Amino acid sequence: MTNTAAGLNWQRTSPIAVVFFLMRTVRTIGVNGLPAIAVVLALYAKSDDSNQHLFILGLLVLTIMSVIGSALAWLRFRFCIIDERVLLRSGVLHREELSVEFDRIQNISIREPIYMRPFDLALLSIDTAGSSKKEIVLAGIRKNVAISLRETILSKTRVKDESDEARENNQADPSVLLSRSGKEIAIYGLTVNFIMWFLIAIGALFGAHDMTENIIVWLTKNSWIKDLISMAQSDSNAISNGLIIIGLGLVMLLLLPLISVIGALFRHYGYRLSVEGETYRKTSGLLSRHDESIKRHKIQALVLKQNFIARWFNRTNMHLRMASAGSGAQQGQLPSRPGSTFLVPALFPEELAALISEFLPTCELDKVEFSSINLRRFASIFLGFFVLPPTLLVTSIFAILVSWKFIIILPLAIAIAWSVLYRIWQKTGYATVGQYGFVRQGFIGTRITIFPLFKAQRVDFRQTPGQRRRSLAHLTIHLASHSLKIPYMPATDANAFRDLLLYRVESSNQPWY
Amino acid sequence: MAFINPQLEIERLPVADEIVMEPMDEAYRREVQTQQIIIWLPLLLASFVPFLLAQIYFLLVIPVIALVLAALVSRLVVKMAAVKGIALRTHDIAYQSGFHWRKTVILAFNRVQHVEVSSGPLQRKFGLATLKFFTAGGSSVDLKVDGLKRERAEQIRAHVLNKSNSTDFA
Repeated sequence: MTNTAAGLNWQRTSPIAVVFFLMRTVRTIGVNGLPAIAVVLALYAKSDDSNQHLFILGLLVLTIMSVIGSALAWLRFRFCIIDERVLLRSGVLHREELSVEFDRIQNISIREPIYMRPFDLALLSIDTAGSSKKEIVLAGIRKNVAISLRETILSKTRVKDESDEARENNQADPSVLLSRSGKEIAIYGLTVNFIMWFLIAIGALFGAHDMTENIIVWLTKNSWIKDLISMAQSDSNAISNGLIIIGLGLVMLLLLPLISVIGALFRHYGYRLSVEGETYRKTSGLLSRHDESIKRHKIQALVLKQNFIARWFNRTNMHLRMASAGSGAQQGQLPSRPGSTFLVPALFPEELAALISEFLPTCELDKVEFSSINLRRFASIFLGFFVLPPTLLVTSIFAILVSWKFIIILPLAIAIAWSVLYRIWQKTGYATVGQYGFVRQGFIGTRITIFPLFKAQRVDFRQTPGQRRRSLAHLTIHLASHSLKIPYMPATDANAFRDLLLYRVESSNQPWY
Repeated sequence: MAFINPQLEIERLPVADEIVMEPMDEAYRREVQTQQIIIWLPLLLASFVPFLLAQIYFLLVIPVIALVLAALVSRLVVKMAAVKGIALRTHDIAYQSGFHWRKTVILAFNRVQHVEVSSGPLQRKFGLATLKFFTAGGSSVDLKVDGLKRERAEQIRAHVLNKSNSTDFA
């Protein structure tokens, strides 16, 4: 290992990076310890004044430890660029050394968080492919260093493959493909994560009654809310308390989309997508500027998402998916990190069509006719195994113990389940046209994944004896970015899809990464 | 390079459904049987303990149940071992497994990132090895093939690595 020899020009980042490490620590604690934090908050709300000092002391100790830890993390963090590789040393307790070749880099982004802007510093994130590697973040390097580093890395990733034409284009000015106004970003904010914030609001209304109570207890300590509640309690009965809870739930229901919109504005305000040669670059952000780059050949799949709010606005959100460590088979659709997807928000149909053929040349989504999966088998398996037994059990218990009228629930439940399954069946589809494969999924919204067939990594074909008799099969296509499962396909189609996919993979000598 | 996009004749593509799977080595069956004995024998012996301690004949039900369970489970495990099959084609490797849910995984050589051959103590006794293939994207093993003779596993590994390099983006 000559890399580790002394004499390499190991560099430190700016001390401002301590803030970055601190924020990362806080976020890790926040994400991993959310239930614990909720418990502590509830305890804090319930404890009397003398005990509250202990909580504050604990918080203080935790803060000081985090600050010291972050400072140590910054001290230990060093990087070095040599021989078309990025070398990295980091870790306080668990020390780590990492080496990443430029060629393996999937996507580079530069961010300027608000606390770094006054110092002209930036944050360079490098996303790599591979089984054990992870995202590298150089926090707190000079902005011009970050930009020149990005240029160096991008120019050295597989220059040999670029045709002369592409290289010529490289020298041309970057042309803007798309820009989004604040209004459009707000629409994106409304359309994204709708289901999630809806569920949170529902949960706040019905599920977490105890927590609501604790929150209210805690809120009563704040003076203005105290006034509000005492006002409400002047009627002093259970109904007004109930009204407060419902009111808070409604406020949350209205607040969550607002938070979503504000979040989207912070992250994507001033969205601009430009192309330079075959490198796409997007810049956005209200306070922190985000600057991300990706090369066309690094795109593993396009995911087009449209939920019902988006359809109402006639918009589609597009995600470019890249190869990513640890986001494969088991985890399904969700990327493990935001780093492995590249967003193009709130597109009108014509913009969508133009961008699809930009990212995936010769791909024509409008010519695609999706084939359906087998409705009878799909619905009967789900109804028979997952819906009928539990509803039958529950209704028969109620019918025997309480009243025979509970039998009515049974056909009702089955009818609802059937309509849900029918809807999912309607949405599920697959197709191949030319070089590309298409998979459509969804329930309320629609999600279409388009991928170059030759970029597939592996294909699984699965059959139960019942499916063998009926000539049906499940087909799972594993991409480097995520996996797609098509259930209850006609076996002939599944075989044809698989054969075509393998033919494309095996006959192509284009690199997939 | 000019862009060409010839039309494919779907019917003339190689058909993966027609692959003839080669069963696993005979030693694998014996290994699985031995493994089952190692797992179940102590449990069966232990199931007699309540009877021996209490001397109540009713407690003999426990070893009977254990025996039935052992017979059923080990029969299934042995059957599952028997249906496993592997096939090498020019450009890919196919692996079939699953007694009830039959699954066929096909992995193209030019998508293999690395290959691992490993063997446990029992496998070594029978001269067997496990072959693991890794591709991009997934953080876990993408294809795990049990029950190959050690030499055959090494052969396949060499073959696959050779292929994955030769078809590599010249």
